[in-house]
Amino acid sequence: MSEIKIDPITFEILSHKLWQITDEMASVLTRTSGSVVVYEVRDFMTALYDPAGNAVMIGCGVIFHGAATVYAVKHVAETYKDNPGINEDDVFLLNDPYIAACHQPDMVLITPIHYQGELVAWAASMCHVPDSGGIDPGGFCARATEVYQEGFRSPGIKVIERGELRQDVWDTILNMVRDPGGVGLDLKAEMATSQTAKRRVLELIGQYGVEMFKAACAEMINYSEVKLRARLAELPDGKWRAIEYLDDDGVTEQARKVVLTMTKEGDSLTFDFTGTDGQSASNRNSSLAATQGGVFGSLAPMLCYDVPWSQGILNVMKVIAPEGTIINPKMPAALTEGTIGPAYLVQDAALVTISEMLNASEKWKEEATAVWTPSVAGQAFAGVNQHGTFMVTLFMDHQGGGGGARTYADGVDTGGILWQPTTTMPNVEAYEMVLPVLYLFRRQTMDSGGAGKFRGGVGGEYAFMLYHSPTGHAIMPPNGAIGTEAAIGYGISGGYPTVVKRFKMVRDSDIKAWIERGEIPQYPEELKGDLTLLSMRDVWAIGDNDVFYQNWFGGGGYGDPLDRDPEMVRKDVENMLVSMDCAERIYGVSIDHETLEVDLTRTAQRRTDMRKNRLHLAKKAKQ
Amino acid sequence: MSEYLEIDEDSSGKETIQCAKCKYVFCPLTQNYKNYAIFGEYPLDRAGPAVFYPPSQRFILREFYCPECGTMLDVEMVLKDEPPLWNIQLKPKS
Repeated sequence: MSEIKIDPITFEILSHKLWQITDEMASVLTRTSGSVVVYEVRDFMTALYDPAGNAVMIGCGVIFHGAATVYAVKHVAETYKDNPGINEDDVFLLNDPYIAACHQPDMVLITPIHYQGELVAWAASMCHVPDSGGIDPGGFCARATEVYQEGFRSPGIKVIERGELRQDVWDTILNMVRDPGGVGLDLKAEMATSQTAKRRVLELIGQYGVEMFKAACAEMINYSEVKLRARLAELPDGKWRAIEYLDDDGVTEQARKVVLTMTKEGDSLTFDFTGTDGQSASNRNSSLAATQGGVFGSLAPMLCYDVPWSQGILNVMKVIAPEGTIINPKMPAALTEGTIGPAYLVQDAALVTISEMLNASEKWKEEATAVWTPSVAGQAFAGVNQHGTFMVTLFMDHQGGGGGARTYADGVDTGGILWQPTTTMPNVEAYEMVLPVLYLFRRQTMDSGGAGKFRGGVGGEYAFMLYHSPTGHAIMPPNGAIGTEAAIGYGISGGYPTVVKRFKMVRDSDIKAWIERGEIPQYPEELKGDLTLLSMRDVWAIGDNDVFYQNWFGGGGYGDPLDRDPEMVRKDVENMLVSMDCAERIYGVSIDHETLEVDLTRTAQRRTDMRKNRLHLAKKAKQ
Repeated sequence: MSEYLEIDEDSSGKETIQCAKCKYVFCPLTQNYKNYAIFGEYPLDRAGPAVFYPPSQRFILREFYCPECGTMLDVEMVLKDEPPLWNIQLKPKS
């Protein structure tokens, strides 16, 4: 603890400097890594912690990792302080989801920062590396039934000792993964960013003194807690509930649910997941760290967008996650799908309850939002590329998911992911540059935004084929096995959910004949060949004449679709974001198919009839 | 309380939930308004025929309406046998 008090102006300066350090760490990662997932998508996290492991500043990136990493830093700080010891210029690697990591491919590097021999802070970063050596390439192990099948698992190993890379450890790690070049680049990018963090923290101490630095770190935590509690005090007390679903548990057809009751009382906030279904026998489980991070992932942008993301928020956020469930499984449950499966459901449920709470307040109503793109929708790619190199990477086009509708405006079309404020949708050319693929199209998907008075932002879809592949073959393990049947991207206050996602393959297609004719199909159904709806339990393969298609989510809608301004519906039809069919059938708007003009009289009558029809067809609930 | 629900007081001063559009009174604040609304259950492709094809046989949309004006108050996406969710339970003032 610091012995001096920090004044508000100095705190403001230092808090922004600490924030700037996490931003610079992010820049170093993007400039140093050679992975599309890191330099293009920015799927990573950077953060600073105090000597005890409390989060001082969680940078933008994949937010939930910053909160989960608290447990990683605390574990290393407590477990290894005597043996092997925490020395100046050490770096530890941790990726054990039963301690703190979200899943094995999310490798956390933790760096102690010493000043004149005293431990004064920790820097940490996380990258989703190309592979972790599990049963399936890419880190998401759809066929795993135990964590032992999901790759190597480190509870914290010293990869750099007193400034020297431990060659024995380094070789051992890279010996266990499929793409040692790609994994090595990412880990060295993380090492580089830890050096940047260390240098900047020491510069800060040099400028302001170590006691002032400590005071600033302590105030970062205190300030966040005070601000969040004050905000909560302005919101109504009550309970809000949400249910989210896994389509199935990965082994049987049984759907599994995440049940959340959020209780707000005064300045406290509790997320109780009692009632959530038991753990899955597949990899569709979320580690406790990922679950904690998932709640933080919605809480931080919704209630703390103007507050430093620090331990102060975590001090307020109470999470009850019963052991043995899909959001806190017992060993040795597999859980590589957790980050984008159950942990996403946790985030979505938390977002719904927080938004309903905000919507109950006249002052804070405008901050409410329906669910943003409720999960990812991707697959890994493992194979020899056009340059003759075997590589593994992830397709992440889904980063352009649709934003949830707001209480006063539509969601942002292909706007991004709420809890990943700095990740970006990769360029098509970035993949075509490193993988032997040719995109046939990538575009926004009509009708994919949940309908409502304000609609959700639309998601997208794409198709690709192999191109210049030396082997004419590649493996594609799927990830994001939720939302293929259940529509989990909920609307609020009468808004509809966003779409489900589909993965399709047309095998032995006539795509090359299309290209020779100078034509591109607009839908996979237009191709000759065997069209298959792909299962999320299989590891997919793509061959020379195959075409792969997938769509990804939009956002949920807000309010009754019959309350939507007819002119907004007309514009959506004109912009091909809403079909004429949905304009009439869901929004009740009559539009001339030739001129695209709205007939207001017929629209009013149609809407009146639709409301009457609701009353006619509806049933009375049991009282 | 939400876009279409608001709190009022009855003649005895007890807080009630009513439709913000037509002022239909559902129930006391201490109860689940959904038990006093009317509802319809539909396949998922009601929310978009093309993008939900083929619709799930297990999951449904459950739409809750004001019995007076037909405004859609809330939409649940649930398994068929799931009971109505008490999604908003505000604490009474007294």
